[in-house]
Amino acid sequence: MEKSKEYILRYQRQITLSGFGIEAQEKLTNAKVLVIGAGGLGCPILQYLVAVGVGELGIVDNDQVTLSNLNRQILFGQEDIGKDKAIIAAQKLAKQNNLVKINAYQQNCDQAFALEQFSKYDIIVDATDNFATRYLINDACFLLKKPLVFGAVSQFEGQVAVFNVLKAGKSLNYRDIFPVPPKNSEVLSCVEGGVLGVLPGMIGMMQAMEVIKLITGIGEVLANELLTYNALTQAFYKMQMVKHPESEKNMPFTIEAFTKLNYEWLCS
Amino acid sequence: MNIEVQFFGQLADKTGKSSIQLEHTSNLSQLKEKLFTQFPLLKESKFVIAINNKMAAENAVIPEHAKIALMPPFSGG
Repeated sequence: MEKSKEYILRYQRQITLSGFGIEAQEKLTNAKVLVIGAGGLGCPILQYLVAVGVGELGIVDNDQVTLSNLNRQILFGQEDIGKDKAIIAAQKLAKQNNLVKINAYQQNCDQAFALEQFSKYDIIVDATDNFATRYLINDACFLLKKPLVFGAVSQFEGQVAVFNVLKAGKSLNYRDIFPVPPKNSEVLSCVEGGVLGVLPGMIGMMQAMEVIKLITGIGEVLANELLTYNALTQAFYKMQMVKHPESEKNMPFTIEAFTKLNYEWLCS
Repeated sequence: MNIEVQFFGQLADKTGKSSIQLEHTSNLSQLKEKLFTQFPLLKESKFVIAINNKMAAENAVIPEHAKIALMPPFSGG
């Protein structure tokens, strides 16, 4: 289809990139991405995916903006305190790029939501902040065979990985690293451990980059590897994943088994 | 025959170090025992072990001069 002058002009700088071109841009326009969590990771992911021109973006978050969010959740301002995150994020992003269709889901990502909505999107992005939702998303993506771009932070460090993407004959997921969920109390959250906004910003941007690579086919996707970044030393560490002998033992293999799992209980 | 053990995330807080050098130990179960004696807080921590940047099984053999990493799960976002 012939693209408008505005379309070409808006994306000109990236269309110009060698190996990118109008073909990659059209792939982005045709892509649908669901971002779960509009927090420290979600904000930069959403802003960059809107800027790059992903055709349709879903935002899932049940929280309201608080003053302590503002050091890292750069989509929001003081005037947004107390307001619904998914709704406000969608309104701001719509102003950034009117070529992107944005769907706001002001709700939690539970099993019913995952089963109903994940299949409508090409890629799922985990930008949440707790293990219960992370394992729920991981298992739903495994069941529905959806590529999942994972990101998480701990104080000055962050992790990025891409799951359920076939690479060198292997397709792995989070349960291949940690088959059983840790208790939420075993691991520091941002509330307890603290977080400097730049770190989730960087990890979120790496997740956005993986989404772009998955859609356009440029570069090499971070599949079957866990990347860890340390902001204090600017060091990257890549760990090659292997199939965990116990990953399948703990994975719900049917919709019924998935629906019955109590993720909150597993992690508390 | 030194090996290097790197601690990521909260594990660095629990050991008070980002990495240590150790005498060569033949396999991971022995290494874990050594680490648990030196850093008892590690016993209650969840982590996966990588040898030379590759996830390794519980009783994997450790090559000489190996770089070992203890990687915990992160949950924040």
